[in-house]
Amino acid sequence: MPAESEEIIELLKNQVQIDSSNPWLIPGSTGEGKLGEFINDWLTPLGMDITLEEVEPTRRNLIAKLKGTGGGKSLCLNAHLDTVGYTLWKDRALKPIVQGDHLIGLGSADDKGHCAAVMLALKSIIESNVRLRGDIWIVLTIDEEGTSIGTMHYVKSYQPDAVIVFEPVGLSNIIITHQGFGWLDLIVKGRAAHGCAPEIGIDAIVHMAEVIKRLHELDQSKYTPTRHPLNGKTVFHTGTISGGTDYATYPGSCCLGIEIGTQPGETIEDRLAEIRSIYEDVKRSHPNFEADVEIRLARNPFEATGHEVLLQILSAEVEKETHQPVKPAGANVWADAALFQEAGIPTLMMGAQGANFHAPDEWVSIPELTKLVRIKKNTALTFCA
Amino acid sequence: MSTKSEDVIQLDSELVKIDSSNPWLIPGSPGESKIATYIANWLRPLGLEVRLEEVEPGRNNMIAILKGTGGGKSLCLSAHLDTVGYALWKDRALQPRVEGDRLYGLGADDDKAGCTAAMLAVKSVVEKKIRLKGDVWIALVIDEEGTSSGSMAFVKKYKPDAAIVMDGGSLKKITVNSQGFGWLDIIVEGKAAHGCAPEIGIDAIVHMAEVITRLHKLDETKFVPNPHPLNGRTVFHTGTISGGTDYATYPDICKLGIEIGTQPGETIQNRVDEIERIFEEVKQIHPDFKGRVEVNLARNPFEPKGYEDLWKILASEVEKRTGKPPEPDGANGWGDAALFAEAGIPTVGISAAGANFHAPNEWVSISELTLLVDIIASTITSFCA
Repeated sequence: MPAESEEIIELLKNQVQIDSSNPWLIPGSTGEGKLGEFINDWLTPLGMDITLEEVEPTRRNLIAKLKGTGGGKSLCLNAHLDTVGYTLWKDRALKPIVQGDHLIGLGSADDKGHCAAVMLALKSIIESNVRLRGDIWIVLTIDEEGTSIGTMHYVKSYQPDAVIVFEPVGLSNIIITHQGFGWLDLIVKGRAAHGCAPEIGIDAIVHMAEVIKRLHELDQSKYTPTRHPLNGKTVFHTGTISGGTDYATYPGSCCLGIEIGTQPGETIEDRLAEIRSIYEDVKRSHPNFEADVEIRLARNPFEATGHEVLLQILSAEVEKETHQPVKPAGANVWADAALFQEAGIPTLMMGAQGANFHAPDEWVSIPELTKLVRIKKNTALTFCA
Repeated sequence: MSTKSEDVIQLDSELVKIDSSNPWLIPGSPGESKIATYIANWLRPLGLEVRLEEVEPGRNNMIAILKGTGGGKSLCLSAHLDTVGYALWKDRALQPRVEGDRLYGLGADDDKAGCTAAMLAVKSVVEKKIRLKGDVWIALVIDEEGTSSGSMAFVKKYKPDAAIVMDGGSLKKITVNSQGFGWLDIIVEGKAAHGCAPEIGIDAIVHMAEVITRLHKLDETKFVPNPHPLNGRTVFHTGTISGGTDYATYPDICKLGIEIGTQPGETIQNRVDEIERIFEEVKQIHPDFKGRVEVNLARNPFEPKGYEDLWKILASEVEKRTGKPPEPDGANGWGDAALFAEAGIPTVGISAAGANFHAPNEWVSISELTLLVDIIASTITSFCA
């Protein structure tokens, strides 16, 4: 293993061992505090301005700045501190190991590998003693796996000239767009009655099934044939369903939670309009149909703008390392990139290859991470010059 | 000499005041032992042989026999001792009150009216000193509102020549038919995966909706247009549904509980076969569909045989006192009468009119109940002569 790989392996292992699972996702979890402190201690000797900004009690964004001499463009490098939970692999999630080219452990790819790469890139820039005109920011946010309060807090007060969000998408992709999404509750109202009184009872579950069938048809007839060229098919699947009281009684209500995507140019209102149209259709054949739809959470899609110069520089640096053409790509998942762009900051997303995200035996590619350190350094050196 | 309505009100009220709510239905309820003892003590002075037979720990059937001289036909009068719960009208359920022709209270009709009718009818026969050749049985059973363990125990041990089950109905009709029913569980399996992996995830809730919409279509095209002349349209409705883990994940399983009826000549296997056919149909368009159906509880329809002599006598007594011949009737609800018929006992059902069964403000018609006592007394006198 080259020395640079050893360096990143060691730093990443130290970070994986520090539990930073998201407390919104898993109540009672440690949260990002300890990891933030570790990184703060590691960065301090480098002489950057470091702030730990409280977003919520004990949960702080880490913001470090390498000040430029002035008059240049500022670049923000973003990764997130938190991880999902690990109940399915408690025995080994926080005990990282190297197996061939993979480093296996909770958050190795999503997203501590990228925190580590950002830290090593900055260290390398500082050690090279190059004078840059623009500022370089490291912004390590909390809560990306929750409701993104970390990024939302950051963009309220800061406006770098561009940001690169690091997530494990694989070095051959630079993400310039991704889907938005909504978590929606569909609630159908029936009328409880005894099973022997069909003239009174209204079966909320039967009515809900009519809705689900039409949502599935919408998915097949609209989303599937009109896939976005970069983001793929609009996400749609159900999540949870519940309703009714017992075998002998007509169910008086039924509730369905779904996850549904939005493409660039759309908002969750487009999905709501489709659902209301479905409701109208069901009502035509079932005059006593009654339903509501509520938004639990919704986020807009990501469409990069103003990123052209950064993209050129970044693509060139990636191709230098990988010797492969880089394609601008999309994704069917939502990431904090959308929030940065929505705040007016030209944004791109990229990162090393990994697998088993949010699942046991998550891993990241060590060679790609190693290359990524150099890519970040050289991109920053050019962009902020 | 006719029965007086005051006596009917008095006895039914005494029975209503004794809480006999079913402990299988509502854990912690007192059950039938107190009321069974009360009735036993009421009947013993009349010279009947009284047996309290334990069916379940602390829960006894109340069986009383007025022995005949021999060589005649035996007739069993059956009603149930237990009631449903009364959480929605705790303040007045056990405090019977009269308003016009109605006696209000928990079990005033369902089924302490049946108990009252049997007790006062037999008392009337005893007081008139009528010598009967056949035995008269009073079988007041536990658990009709639960799993029918009372009736099942009775018909296993005893075989009267005929039975009149008094549990729901009115003097306008004599019940000679009813639907059977099944409580079925339909379980559909999918595959959990992250929302961004439609090539892996299998949406169990979407698949379940394919099943439910086809069940609904079966109901609309087969059950509704083909009601049984006596029992009405085959019962079908869903009961409860549950499935999935969270918004962000494809649901790996979905469970549905339904209540579905059977008509004379059918068994629950007919319904299971229809559901299996629906599974096959869904599999045609969703090759990864995986569903199964389990029978949680099933009861056969009520199809009594050999009751013609009993009918003739009973119907003529009803016509004598109400001025109108009763109609043969069916029901879309199932009752213990079906167990008597299945045991080979010629059985019919009759009762006094009432409303709000299993609900607040249950009531029984005092005038019908009063007439019913005399109808039953005369029927006994003719049938067991």
